[in-house]
Amino acid sequence: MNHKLRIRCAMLSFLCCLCFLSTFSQSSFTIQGYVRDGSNGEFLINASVADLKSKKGVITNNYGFFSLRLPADSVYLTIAYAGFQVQQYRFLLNQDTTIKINLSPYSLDEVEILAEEVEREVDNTQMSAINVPIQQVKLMPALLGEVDVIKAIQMLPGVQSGSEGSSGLYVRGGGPDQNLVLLDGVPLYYVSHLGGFFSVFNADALSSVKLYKGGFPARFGGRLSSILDVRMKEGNLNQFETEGSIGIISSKISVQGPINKGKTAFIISGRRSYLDLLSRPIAIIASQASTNGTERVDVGYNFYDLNGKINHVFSDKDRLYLSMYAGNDRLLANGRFRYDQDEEEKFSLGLGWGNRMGALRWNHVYGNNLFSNVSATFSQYQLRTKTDGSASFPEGDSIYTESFELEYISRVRDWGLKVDFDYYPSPAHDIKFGLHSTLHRFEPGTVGIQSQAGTAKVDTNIIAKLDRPLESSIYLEDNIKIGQRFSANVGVHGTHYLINDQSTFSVQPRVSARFLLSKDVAVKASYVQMNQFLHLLTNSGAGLPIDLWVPATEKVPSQFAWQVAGGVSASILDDQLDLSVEGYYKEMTGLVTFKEGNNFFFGGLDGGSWEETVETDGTGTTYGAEFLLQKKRGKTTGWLGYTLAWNWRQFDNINGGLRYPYKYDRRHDISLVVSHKISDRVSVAGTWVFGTGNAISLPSGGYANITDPLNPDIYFFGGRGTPNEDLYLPFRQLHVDLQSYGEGSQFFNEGRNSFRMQSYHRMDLGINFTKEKKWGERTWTFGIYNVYSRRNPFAYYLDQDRERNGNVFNGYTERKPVLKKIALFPIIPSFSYQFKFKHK
Amino acid sequence: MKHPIYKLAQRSLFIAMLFGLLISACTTNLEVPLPEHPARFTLNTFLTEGQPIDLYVSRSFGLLESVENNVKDILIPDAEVKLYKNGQFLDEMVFVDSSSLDTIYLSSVFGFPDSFEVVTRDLVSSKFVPSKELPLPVAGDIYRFEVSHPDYEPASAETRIPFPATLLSVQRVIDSVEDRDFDDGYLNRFDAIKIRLEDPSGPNGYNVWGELMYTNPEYGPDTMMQAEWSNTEVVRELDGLVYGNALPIPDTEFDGGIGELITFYRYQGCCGYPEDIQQGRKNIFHQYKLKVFVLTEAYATYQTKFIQQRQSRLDGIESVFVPSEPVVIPSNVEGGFGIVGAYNHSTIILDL
Repeated sequence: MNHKLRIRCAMLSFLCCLCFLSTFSQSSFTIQGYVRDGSNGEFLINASVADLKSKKGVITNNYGFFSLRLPADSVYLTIAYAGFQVQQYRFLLNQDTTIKINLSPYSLDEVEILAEEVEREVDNTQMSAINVPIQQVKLMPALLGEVDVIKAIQMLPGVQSGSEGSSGLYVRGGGPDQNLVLLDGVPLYYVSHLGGFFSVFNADALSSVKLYKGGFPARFGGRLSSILDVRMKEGNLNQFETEGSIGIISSKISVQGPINKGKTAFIISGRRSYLDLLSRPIAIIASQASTNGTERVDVGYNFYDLNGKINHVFSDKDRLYLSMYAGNDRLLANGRFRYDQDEEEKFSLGLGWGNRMGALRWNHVYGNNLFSNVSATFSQYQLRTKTDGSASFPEGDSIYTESFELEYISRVRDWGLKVDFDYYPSPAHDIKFGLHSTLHRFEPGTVGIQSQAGTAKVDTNIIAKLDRPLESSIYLEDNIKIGQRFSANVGVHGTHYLINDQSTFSVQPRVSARFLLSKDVAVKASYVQMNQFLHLLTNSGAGLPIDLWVPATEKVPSQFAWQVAGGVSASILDDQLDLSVEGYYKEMTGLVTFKEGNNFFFGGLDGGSWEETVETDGTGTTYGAEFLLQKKRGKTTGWLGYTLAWNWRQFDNINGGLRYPYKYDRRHDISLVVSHKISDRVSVAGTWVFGTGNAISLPSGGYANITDPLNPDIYFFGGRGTPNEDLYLPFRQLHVDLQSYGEGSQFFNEGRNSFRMQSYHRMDLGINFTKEKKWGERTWTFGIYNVYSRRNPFAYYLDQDRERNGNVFNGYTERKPVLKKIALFPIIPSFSYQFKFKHK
Repeated sequence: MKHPIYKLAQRSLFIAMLFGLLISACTTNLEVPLPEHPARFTLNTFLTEGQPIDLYVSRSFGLLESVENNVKDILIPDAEVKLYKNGQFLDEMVFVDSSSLDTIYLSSVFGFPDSFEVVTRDLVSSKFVPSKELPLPVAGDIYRFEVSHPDYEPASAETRIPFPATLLSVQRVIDSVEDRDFDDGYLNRFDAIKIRLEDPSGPNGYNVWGELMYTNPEYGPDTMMQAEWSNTEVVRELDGLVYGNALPIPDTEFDGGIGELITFYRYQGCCGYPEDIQQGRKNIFHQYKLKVFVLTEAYATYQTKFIQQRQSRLDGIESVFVPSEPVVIPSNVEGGFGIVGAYNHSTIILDL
């Protein structure tokens, strides 16, 4: 049976089940509605709605909606959400019922007493998924005081950060391209600022962040290793709120409130760095002062994020959302050098990269138990650099002028249409199905060149290969509960991928199951298959904007992975602690990497296709165990995570075809995060991380070579060499110059990534002082990054130390090779001032 | 050769990224110790028909070993080198010391504006040669070297002198490609050369080289230079503005049969420059000499990887921020490093 037939059969079977389920006994009725935060009208995701009498319940979806079908009887409905007071309703269910639920948040001093509603891992069918506690993240110490959700995620077991300071994510041995980062359901391609030191997510604008490392539900697809589902706040429907912060390198502000109270709300949130406001005038003044005004140099860097969202409630059944995000990094440098009246040089460099995202979403409830979400989305990532320069100088009686202009653009654009349904036929089934279609447009590098030298002109555009693949997917999943102990999420995700009239169809089954051994202990297991139809060409892994996104093509096929995981979750010490232990094994195929010697500059820009620069059909094997102990309640909260992992890659033409450790193969990874509330006004937080050093390729040594008679790149006798044995033979010689571009000798190493960098560890501490003011609330946050100033390795490179030998021509003749380590951040103190205005 | 535009792009982007990182970080260089490296034999030679046999024997060295200042330190003159031909012992080779120290050039030192560096280089041509007069190699001969020394693991390597390709025909397409220099906007013109040949059996690689016989009338008929052979750039691929790098062409598609090589050559000197054309200055081309080299597979692979490594290698801190995937240069020396390769060639002269 071929793939198409199989998927058709599966779909047909599932539709039959749906029909059966929807003809459930008419003695049952449906309770449906939305669960909101009563203080601001925000919908609450994953709130628990349960009938204590029948012991049946559901959780709210990503839009706060629920539908629960129960027998006609008296109902004792309990609605709970972490951090909110439980609400209970008693009524006789004798008809379909719609209710609006507004939960009230606990006041601060109640948290310790009433914390029954803390999410317990044992209760979740889903495994390998973690809700990131944004409020706790805000209290954690951060590099230069910039609160960063991604940095907090990096401290979870199974997630690695890559290099020091990087906001790249490496989940269960996957690459940085294998994470589907969704902002309000729209994929973002590049989530870093400042070369990866900060992420694009402004914590003030976010309502929830959930990371899936495995056991992916069928509604997600398109990446192999993780799903990061980030949801923006929707805007306060009841009153205006303003909050923000002023930090060392950036400030941010968020404003939200009702446009039409109870009906329409907005939120707009902005963040901007201000390094350039300082660096530009300083550079100008310094350059002019040191050169008597003949030189003027101006350098600066900034980034910004702008999040906005409007939502409108048409009725209990219809809502409309408009979300947008724009973020950009910009680096600029300008210089002018005036040597005399007629002789001048100028240059200008601009480098900008960033995302744009927009989504228009319509929620509609059909009847009592079918919820729909229709979205039209747009996403763009663009890197653009423009360099120009000119020089003029006297030549005879005239002024000779040379100029050039170089522009490089790399861009990915997505236009998407999504239709998702949530169907609640009975408390035992929560069915989701839908259709997604995305038109990608990849422009992996267009170069524009203009130059003029005297009367000669060049004006050229080199347009890289443009691809417009269409990726469509269909999915069906059911969250099944059988009895009180067993639950499972079973689904299938099918993807159709069309590029250059070549189409590919893949069917990816997903299963995740939980069995409760007791009230507090559950065993879980999952099996998933994932397909990914795009690749990231990267050398550094440091999250540099020059990494290129490219589509899967006929020559460079898609990536595929299967992952199996199993584990135990336990709630211990009367729900004080949540323990989770998981083991996983993942195999990946269709991986790509640059061919030996290729990179961003030495590859696709050479005028050839990027497809010629990569090795394809690589495989990856990764396995390990993760341990997570969380404390979610009480004055002291936090977690301890430990990962033991192995991570391998194998390509036919790399490392002699032998498997080798991935750069981020990290055997041990430990993270400890602790927050303690000393009083309502003072809290402290600390983190400590440890990781095995990255695996890198470092030469072990060198050996001599001799002049190659047929090497065209060897110059001798003032010109490009021709193999003329008569001339060549007497001069054949041994070369041992490791640093030279000439006929230098060669490095060798013991294999790809065979050298281990030093291990990484770091401690950060922070303290927060919060005070109520007449106008609202303010918080001073003081932090210390890298408390004991560990010189963690960022990179190694080979250099030469010159030793003075001053006898001859005041020269330096002795060169001693040294291996150097770059350590980026020593101890760095920081502070920020946060404020929150009350509006009446 | 990489076009200047790419160097420019590389430099400006690199500066941009480096700047971005530096302004946000305190960078500290710390020296890192490395484990000791056990030295191994390095054997190097390229043999060809009709040329004497030799072998360069040296040792490998640790990454931090400062051997550049005294190259002779890595020679192993007291190694025992046995030479075999077609499986038969032929000779025990002897070491000949013929090195000299030469001053090559003076170079400024980055970061030390008042200083310059005297770059000296040992012309180390000391090598092992046969202890007696031996017949010169001919195509088809298989030579094997076995090297031993009490301080090193033994090493060995062998190579076969390839047969030259039989050149069947050569077709020239005049001015088949044009492009302009980025620097000055001048026109370059290329002729395409299509060579049909009969490939000797066994996996080989091909290199094609050319020389032009031309005269230059730039200074008028009275001062016309005598016609002479001059090297010309032969490139394998022309794609947009980028010249290829004349990597060896593998014979995988026509191994042992009739094959075609397509290369290009560039006219020498001024022929395409607008000023020259306006003033009637044009080189006069008489003949084109093509040399088609056949390389052993190991040699061709070595050369390909060597060129790739050189092109992609960035020095010092640049390599941190714009790293390339490391190029591993394979060796056909068992128990050691280096290359023992062989080649042969055929020549054809075209009248232009």
